[in-house]
Order: sequence, then C-alpha cells, then structure tokens
Amino acid sequence: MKDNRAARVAPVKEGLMSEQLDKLKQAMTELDLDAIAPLVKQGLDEGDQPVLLLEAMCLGMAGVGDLFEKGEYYLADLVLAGEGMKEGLEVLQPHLKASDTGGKGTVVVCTVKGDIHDIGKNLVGTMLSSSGFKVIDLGTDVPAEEIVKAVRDNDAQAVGLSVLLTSMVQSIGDVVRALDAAGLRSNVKVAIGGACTTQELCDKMGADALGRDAVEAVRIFEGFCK
Amino acid sequence: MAMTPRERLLATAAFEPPDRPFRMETLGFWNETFERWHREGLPGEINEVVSATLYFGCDPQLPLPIGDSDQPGFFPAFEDEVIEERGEYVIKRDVSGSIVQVLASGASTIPSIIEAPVKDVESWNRVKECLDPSSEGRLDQFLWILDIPGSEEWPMWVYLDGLFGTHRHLLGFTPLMIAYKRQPDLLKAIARHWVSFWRGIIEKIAERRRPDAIYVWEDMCYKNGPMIGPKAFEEFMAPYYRDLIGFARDEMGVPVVCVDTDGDLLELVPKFVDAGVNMLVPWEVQAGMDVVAVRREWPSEFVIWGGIDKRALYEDRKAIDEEVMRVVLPMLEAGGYIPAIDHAVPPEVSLENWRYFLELVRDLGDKHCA
Repeated sequence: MKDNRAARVAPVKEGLMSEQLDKLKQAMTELDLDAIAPLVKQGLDEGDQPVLLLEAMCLGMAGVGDLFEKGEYYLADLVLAGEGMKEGLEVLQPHLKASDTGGKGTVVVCTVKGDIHDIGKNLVGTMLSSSGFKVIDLGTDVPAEEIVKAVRDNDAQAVGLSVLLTSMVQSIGDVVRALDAAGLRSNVKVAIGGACTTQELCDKMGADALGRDAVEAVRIFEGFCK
Repeated sequence: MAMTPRERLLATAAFEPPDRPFRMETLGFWNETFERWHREGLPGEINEVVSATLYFGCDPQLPLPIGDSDQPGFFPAFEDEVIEERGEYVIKRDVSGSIVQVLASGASTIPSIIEAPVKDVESWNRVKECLDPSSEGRLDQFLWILDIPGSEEWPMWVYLDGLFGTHRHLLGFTPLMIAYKRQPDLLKAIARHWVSFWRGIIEKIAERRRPDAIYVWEDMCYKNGPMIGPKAFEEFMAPYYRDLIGFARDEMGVPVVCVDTDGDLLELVPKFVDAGVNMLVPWEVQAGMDVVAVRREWPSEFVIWGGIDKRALYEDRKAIDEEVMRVVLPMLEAGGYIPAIDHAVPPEVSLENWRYFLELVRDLGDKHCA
C-alpha cells in the first residue's frame, strides 16, 4: 500500500491536500454532517496531523461562507456547518495543542446587557473559531464591566457585540465607554451586529464596524487583528 | 355609503376601492411602549393590543388566536410554570412546552430556549395529542367573541402558528435547522399533522361563522433574508401550505390568507404567492424592504400590510411626514394596501408622535378615497 504520509504533513492549501483531507473539507462545505466526525477519526487513525485535519475543516467552513455570500446557502446552512464543526472538533480536540488554534487573534463575543438572544452571536463565534480566532464567548445579557475584564484577562484585540432590539442599543455605547475608561479602547476594536444595527448606529455609538452577517464578521475581525 | 370593517378589509383584499383604507396601523405595541405612554398621558386601562387598537380608532376585528407566536395551538396549553429563579433570570416552562430563560424584569426580548418539547418521533407523538381539533371545549375560549353585538360587521381572523413557526416551537431554532438535514421525516410528519389540525379547526369555526381571514405567524425571515432557502421551502412547507390554503379557500370560502414573515422575505415571495398566500406583513424597512418597489414588481398578487419605517416615528414630524409620503400615497394609488408601520410600536415612539402619525395616515387615506 502506498504511504502518502508525506502529503499528510504538508501545509494544507487548496489543491495540495491529500485525498482524505480533501474529503473532509468537502464534507464540511457540502454539509455532509454524518461524514465529518468519521472522517476526522479516520484521519487520526491513519496518522494525519490533527492540525491539518482542523485546517481542512476550516477550509470547508470557508467554503460554506463563500456559498452563503453567493446566496446559495442560508442561515440554516450556517447552523448546520456549525454543528458539523462542533462534531468534528469533539473528535479532534483531545489531539490538538493549544498553539494549533486561535492564531489569528483573540475576540470577545457576547450579546449586550438587556438582551438574551443568542442565535447571531453563536453563529459569529462559530465562524470566527473556524477561521482561526480564539473566541471568548461571554454569553448573553453581558454587562460592560464583564466585557472589559474579559478583554483584559485574555489580552483580546477585538470585541463583537450582538444586539437584537432597539431598546438595548445604548448598551453598545456603554461598552465602548467602559473600554475607554479602562484605557483599553485604543488597542481594542469593537464590531456590532444584529437585527436593529445600522451604520448610523455604529457611528453614533462609537463602534468601529458593523457586521451584516457571520461571514462578513470574519472579514471584519481579520482586518482588526492584522 | 360607509363600508363595515369586514367589507373594507375584503374590498382591500380584492383590490377593489374601499370607502377608506382599513385602519390597523401596527402589528401591536411593546409592553414598554405602554409604560412610556402611560407616563405621557395614555389612560392606564389601555395596556394591551385590543384595548389600544380600539382606543386609537383602528377598525374593530374578531381575532381567534388559537395558535400564534407563543404556541402552536396546544389544548390544553402547557402551564406557564417557573422552574427556577436565578437572580436576573427566570427559568420556566412556557405555554409551548419549551424550557426557556427569560429576564426576571419581564423586559421584552426573545426568550432563550433551553429545551424544546420535541426531539424525535416518540416525543412528537406525545405532544401531538394536544393538537387535536376535536378536543372537547377547545374552541369555547375563543368563540364567545362571535356573540358580541354587531360583530358580524367585523372581519374574523383565525390566528394560526405557521408551519415554520410550529416546527420551531416544537423543536427549537437550532435543532430545527439541523432537523432539516437529519430528521426530514419527522418534520414532514409534523407538517402533515399541521395541515389536518388546522383544517379541522377551520372547519369547526366555519360551523359557527365563516372566517374572513387566516393570519399565519411564521417570523421565518430576518435582516438578511429567509432562514431557510426556497429549496427547503418547496420541500418542507409549500405542499402543506397548498393543501391547507386550498382547503380554506376552495372548501371553506376563506378569502384572505396573510403570512407574517418579519425581515427580508423577497426571495420567498414567489413561493408564498404560488402556495396561495394573498397578504404579506410586515415588510421591515430595517431589513431593506421597500414596499413601493415590491408593488411595482407584484402589482396585484397580494395585499401589502405594513412597510412604513417605524424608526421614522422616533424622530420629529418632518421625518414622519417624509416617510408617510414616501410610502402611503403611492401604495394607496396602487391598491391592495393596508397602511401600517413595519412591526409593533417600540418604546422609542412617543405618544404624541404616534397620534400625529395616525392622524396623518388617516387624513391621507380619507382624502385619497374621497
């Protein structure tokens, strides 16, 4: 039997993947949920480096993002992709080193104080994790001081705030001011997203960017963490 | 001669000229809006949608809220029961059978679902027993309103939890998205029952009086579009919509089928039209909806209800004037339009601005129809 181990340790790039890694990437992009975890397990059993399996899943996830932006995938498909990622990572996580993940930067995400809606926030967190960010998810209804603490404790470069309702938009300003008061604002970018958010609101609240969806959020945070 | 509210709604639905536009200029009011308005002089007893719409001179209607945004039509409904109080939060089982986390303050938000009542065929079969149209006493709590003197002049609406809405209530949002892939047979079994349940309900109501309209709560669209695409709609929703709407319209003579989608629904409009829907609401401007443009593309296929940017009412009279002029005049000219803001009235709107808005819209409508 031919040993293709050499291909398996090469950096994963489009067109340079082993057949197994390519299958995994494709399963992610095509949302073939039932194939993802078994392919990860098979890859591990056959000696694939965990980090390469992770990278293949992330490339697959990037494919999902592309299809979402082209209008071929919908919100439901992003949720499915997140589930696929979660199931793959459950198999892969014990084999990963801390340095294998989060290389692009650290982002604190949460839903603002007064709001317990978490669908958008969860999707953004999943897409960011899948794109190589370390994500500190503080959950929902999070006060500004808790966000400041998380930024400081984790040396985060950016904050993503989700807000659904117009009545909660003041919480965005509270976070921006709290980061400022803590002396962190100049080093920490803030992006917002959610049903009631607009560019005008973003400007008014002193945030740095408005994300239209979870896929755009990845590009925004990549820009922030360059 | 003045039309009755029922005649007015039906004329609008048929794209015939009403004596004046149908008056129902909002989908409702936030609780926080009432709190603000009470401070601004609204009488304290006006504190929910029925009393408020009558107080503000909207056309009276006969709503039968058998299923809605709260629950799929369970009888008996689950008890709204607190399971645990955790500081600022309450964990409770709500009337849809879901275990949810809500804010203890009672502030308006979308509850966070911890666990929904259906996970598989077995749990569905248990829950299904509460969706039996023939349950003894099921309709008594609703049908009494038909005895209100003069109510034969008001349009009767049967409120039902839509198919996406029912699926979401039963499974929860994230499990539903995954179920489209992993449990399609379960979703289709629920859909078949949804059709037979609502057929039974409509048939029973029609024994007392023929409904004029069906209001279907879906909320299946958000800021960037529908949560599921046209392909999934065609597989999981369209056949069941066609079945139920065909029955309601052809066998029961119900002329209006209105779907409440929220958000950006444009991609699904052809699907809804094809399935027999002839009224769509609320056309949220913050999701990019422009009803004037929609009407140009779809001149007479469905009534448009809504489409006026509620955010204009946060500001001053000039902003309200501009928004009303942008939307209301061309829409009344085109026909098949019920003037309304693009969702419920949020607490950013002052009572003074709300009154001004109503006066302006109604004055324009009266002049247009005269």
